[in-house]
Amino acid sequence: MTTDLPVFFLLAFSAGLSIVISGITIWLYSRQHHQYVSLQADYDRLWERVLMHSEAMIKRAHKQALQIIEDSEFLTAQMKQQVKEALVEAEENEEAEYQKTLAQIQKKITHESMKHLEEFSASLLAETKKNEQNLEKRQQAAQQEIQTYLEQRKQQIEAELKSHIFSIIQSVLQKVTGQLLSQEQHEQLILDALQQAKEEHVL
Amino acid sequence: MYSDFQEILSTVEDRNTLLEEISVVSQVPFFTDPKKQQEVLNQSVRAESREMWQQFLEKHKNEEINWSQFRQELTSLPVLELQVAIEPTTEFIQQLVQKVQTLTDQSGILLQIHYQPKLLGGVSLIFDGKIKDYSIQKKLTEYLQTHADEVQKLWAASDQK
Repeated sequence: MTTDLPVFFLLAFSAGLSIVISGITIWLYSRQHHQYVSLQADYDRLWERVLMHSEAMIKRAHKQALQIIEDSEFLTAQMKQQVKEALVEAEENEEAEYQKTLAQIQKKITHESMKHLEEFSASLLAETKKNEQNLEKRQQAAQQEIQTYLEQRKQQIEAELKSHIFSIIQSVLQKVTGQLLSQEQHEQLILDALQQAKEEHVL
Repeated sequence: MYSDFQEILSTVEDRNTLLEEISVVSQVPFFTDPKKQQEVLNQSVRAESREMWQQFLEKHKNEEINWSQFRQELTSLPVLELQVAIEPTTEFIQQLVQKVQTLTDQSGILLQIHYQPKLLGGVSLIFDGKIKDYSIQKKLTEYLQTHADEVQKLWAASDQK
């Protein structure tokens, strides 16, 4: 039996639709991934700038402090020296404290960024899944339609096949019967039929 | 009048042939010219009906024959249409005529026989507005319809062999 053209077109359309939706999903994903990578790079650059800027600020503050101490008139030379030594010690301590603070800040920022990135990834995944579910739904709908059509067509084909089988059997029997019965047998059948017609009040 | 020709009136074809003969014979004034009569009968009627015509004309020589009435009688004869799967012989047609006369207690029923090999055997008939099919083809079709599943299984089984 030849392939039904409508079924072929239905399957081709369903496949085409799947390819288009998959393409759109992949494009959306790659675009968002690119944004994510870009964001990560921006974050790294920003952090470096924060570090550099913070160090520069502290160094400048110390330098200014030293300058202030140097310029002050009310401190004696000995006092200035003690202050300078204390400042250096403080600077060292501050450096450690600064590093500690920076680490805490970094941790906090990292945590927030990671949280943001996690949320971003989750939404990306959700979007992809949603598209997949839509695609799946569309595929299921198309498959259902195809199945329904095939079921209807199947019944029609069965009826045609039955009729065809009957025609073949009749044709074969016709040839066989024609050869099997003699002229006398045919004649007797006709006479018997007339008798039956009389009994049934047709004659 | 048609009873004078009963012997040669078995089928509708016989009746039509007789009507054609009436068309010819009715044109000749037999009572005035016996020689002409013989000439017409020799040329225009069948050999098997010639003697009947002679007897008929002799019987009605002293009266005017009502040809219209004769035609009317012939066209009013009942017809039994038979469709059969064989080409019947002349002898069998006669056998059928006798069978029909016996069964119906009627004379003058004309047979109209059609050759239909697709019937496979038996007969399909029409008489007095009634139609009845006693053919093998009908019985076979009924059998196939009532035993469709069986037939399909047999068909599938033979297909696999």
